[in-house]
Amino acid sequence: MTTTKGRGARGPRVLCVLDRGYRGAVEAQFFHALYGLLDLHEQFEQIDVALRGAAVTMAVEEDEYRPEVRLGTMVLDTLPDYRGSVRDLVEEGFAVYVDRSDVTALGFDPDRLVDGTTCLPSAELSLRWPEYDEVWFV
Amino acid sequence: MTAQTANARSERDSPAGPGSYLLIESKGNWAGPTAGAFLRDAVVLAEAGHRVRVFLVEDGVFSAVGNEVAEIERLAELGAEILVDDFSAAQRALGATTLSPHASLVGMDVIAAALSEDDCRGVWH
Amino acid sequence: MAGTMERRMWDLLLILTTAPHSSDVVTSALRLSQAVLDRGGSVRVWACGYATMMTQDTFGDTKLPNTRDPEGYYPSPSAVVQRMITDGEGRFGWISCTACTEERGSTHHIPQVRHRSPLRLATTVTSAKQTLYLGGA
Repeated sequence: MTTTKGRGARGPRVLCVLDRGYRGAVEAQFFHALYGLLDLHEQFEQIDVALRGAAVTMAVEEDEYRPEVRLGTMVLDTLPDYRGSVRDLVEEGFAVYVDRSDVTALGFDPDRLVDGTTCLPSAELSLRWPEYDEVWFV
Repeated sequence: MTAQTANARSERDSPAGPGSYLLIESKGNWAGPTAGAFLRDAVVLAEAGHRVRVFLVEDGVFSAVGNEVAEIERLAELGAEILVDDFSAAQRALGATTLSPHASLVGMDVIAAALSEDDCRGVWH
Repeated sequence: MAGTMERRMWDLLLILTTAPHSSDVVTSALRLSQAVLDRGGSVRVWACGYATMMTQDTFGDTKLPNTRDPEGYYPSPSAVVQRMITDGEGRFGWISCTACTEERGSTHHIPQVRHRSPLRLATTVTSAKQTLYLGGA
């Protein structure tokens, strides 16, 4: 009998790279990519997240977005709370990496990233891949 | 707006003459190497004398960041309007960065009104 | 003597072929629809490809439970469309392309949805003052 790389029942160490955000506000609501990672957390030895491309904006603090839209007589106020999900990831022990070059290319100040996230140059993000058993582009 | 009959369509202007275009860009310059082509379509139409309005929505709003997107600069020179969806911009925290001085944040009501104009041709990318 | 039959003319037709959950296109389409409705206009959505999944009756009224907010109310996509059709009082319509529903197996829809063959697409387009094609199927 063999065990899965000696780690028993828990899944491998995974780095999840998210480079496309905003995939369905009305239809997804709470069930977006970051929520999925939060829910999978316990099954794996380690899951961390790297945001790059347009997805870095999910980690930029701001105070204008209201997660609601009115459709007919329905006010749908359960749209995704991107920054809130990133805060939840940090709180639950995920490492959340944010690609510095994409942050600055979009004109954001890295100081405005959600507390607890780690802003890194692209090359340093790549060099962290060997720390994980698997890298998934989610 | 009220219910119309089918012959309203025939009142549009000739395809060959100057027209009025509302180009809706939902992808933009962060969506891949060919994503900018749609804004170049807008430039060509504006240079040909058509009225052009560009509405940036979803990831298309990234084209309004900063002042280095050549197509946006050129469209502004040509007098084209650059409209940016307020909801998409807020989703993407664009209040925390600098938008092109040529861009105006608008709600969907502005786009609904534009699309209701008899001579407006809407194109979605 | 044969008379001329006048068809109803819709203000906006959205041919929605982009898959839900692939981008925020459904959200944009519904927001734009609502903005037209708010102006007193009329909108019809022709759903193609995986967009036909939006109105399947198998969703029920709500999404699956949110494990982080089990008491929260999260309406299903079909419930959202159903509400817009009801609230639109005849000014908001939803068509599901029969070829795409067969191709995707999304054949059971809420009763408010109309089913049309793609052979009627041009007729549907000519019944709208303005058409936007939201591609991606």
